[in-house]
Amino acid sequence: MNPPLVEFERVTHRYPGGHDVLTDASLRLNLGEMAFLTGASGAGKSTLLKLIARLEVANRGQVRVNGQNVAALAPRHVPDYRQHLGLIFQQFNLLYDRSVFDNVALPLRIQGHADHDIARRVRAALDSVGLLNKAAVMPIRLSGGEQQRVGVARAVVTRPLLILADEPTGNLDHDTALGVMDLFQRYNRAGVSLLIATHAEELIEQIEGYRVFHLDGGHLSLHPSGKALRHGR
Amino acid sequence: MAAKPRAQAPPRPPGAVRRWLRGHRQAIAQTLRHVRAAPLGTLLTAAVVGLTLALPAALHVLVRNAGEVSSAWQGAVQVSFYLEDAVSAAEGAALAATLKADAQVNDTRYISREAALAEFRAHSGFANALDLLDENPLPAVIVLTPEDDLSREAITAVMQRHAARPEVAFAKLDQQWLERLHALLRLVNRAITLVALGIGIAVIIIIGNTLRLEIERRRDEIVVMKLIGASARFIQRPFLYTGVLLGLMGGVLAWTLVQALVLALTGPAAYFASLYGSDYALAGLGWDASLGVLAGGLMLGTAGALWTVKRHLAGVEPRFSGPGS
Repeated sequence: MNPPLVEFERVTHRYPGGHDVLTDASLRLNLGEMAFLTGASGAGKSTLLKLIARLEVANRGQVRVNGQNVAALAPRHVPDYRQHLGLIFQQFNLLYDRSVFDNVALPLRIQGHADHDIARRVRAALDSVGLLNKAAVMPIRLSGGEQQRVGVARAVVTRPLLILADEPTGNLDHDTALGVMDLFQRYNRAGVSLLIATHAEELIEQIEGYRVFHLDGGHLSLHPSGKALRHGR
Repeated sequence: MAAKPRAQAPPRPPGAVRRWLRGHRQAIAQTLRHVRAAPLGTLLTAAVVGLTLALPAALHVLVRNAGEVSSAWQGAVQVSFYLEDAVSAAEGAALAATLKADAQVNDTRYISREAALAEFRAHSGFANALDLLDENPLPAVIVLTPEDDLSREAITAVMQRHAARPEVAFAKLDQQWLERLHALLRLVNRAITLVALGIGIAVIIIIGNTLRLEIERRRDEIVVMKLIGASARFIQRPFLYTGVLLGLMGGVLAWTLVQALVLALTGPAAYFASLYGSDYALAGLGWDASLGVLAGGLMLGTAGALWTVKRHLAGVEPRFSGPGS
């Protein structure tokens, strides 16, 4: 069995002046595993991802990534930590004043790679999402699905330990969303760990073999797979 | 058909020094890209900074020239000894020779009563009025030029020493106006320092505010960069370079404006000086002041950027989506 990559140990989190978004939540994502996180809007899916990305710090309990307690990271080490994560967003979060190539190259530039190395890796990442021929195009000229694939390429270009995707298909039609999910499966088969937050349970139902964590009222529970999710109801 | 993703080793992070150098190179390139994208805005800000810096620089040139002119006058200080009427021309000439023997005296010139009258008649325009007088009203004068390096106190001592001679009716050292001018120049110099301080603060505010607006304009970009692991320094660098660039451009512009002003005034100033028999040429900023203007712009730009960037970038927080979702 692979060692745990992400561990939540009885994590409780509450925003100032609000209710508990997560209550006593425990979770374990293994190295090389892809899993889904489901729940209604406002159930706490994004909060859980924020705790992993160290955008929030849990009020109680411990979040460990690759054995490191992320709450114990000094603020100056947080950027280095985030460089080992690949983040994918519902709103794509692309920079619209620069080309597709420059968007995907940004994480590598942040890490200080040489131009020739950046060019090679960006081309490989764009090739993997089928957008190599759009490298020079500005993102505004791309469809929603293509923009999300640029976001995926940007997330994988640094070969991160873990990819966190927050509602990656939320702004896409069903077929395009399936295409993005297929992309995630292919990355996972290549050894990449992924945790995907989505409320699109009908998409998960079409994908077999992955664990599904469900959030409801701040409580986290585990469904064994997408198929099980469908048959279990 | 998209290529199949392959499992590869994570890219090895480059060495710290290379990373640092590349970071700065990228920041400079990014700064220049933003300048090229909005050249008018950049030029306008630099123009405001330049005009602001040009004011103390121009005042400095004014004071410098006034100081140099007054120094030239300082070297031409003379003491006039007005002789008693009873002193004959021969005695007056002998006294002039005696005074010249003083180690602190550079030269003396004896002007007899007749010579003084002739000179007055030639240059005063009162020739007809003088004809009405029964006798020559002008005294004989010995004009004494002290040595160049004598202080004001030493010149006064020379004057007092020789004014006590019985042949001398009275002596006069007319330097008070020069002292007043020097006092005025010292006052203006102090005022320039204070104005420069105020203007320095104004430049810091101008550049700081420009960068604050730029940070607001690029808030989304900053959020994305923070999310994908950009360090505070990486994000700050392009803004700091923008501040440095604006300050430097302002300094260059201020220098150009002042030198152009000097160039435009050189001809009229030379003509004015020639009317007083002087070949004085208007001085520009000089190397030291030129470097001062450029370094001042650079430092103020950097200070404005540092003052703003750290404070405002810290307030841009990354987020996935709304809290609680």
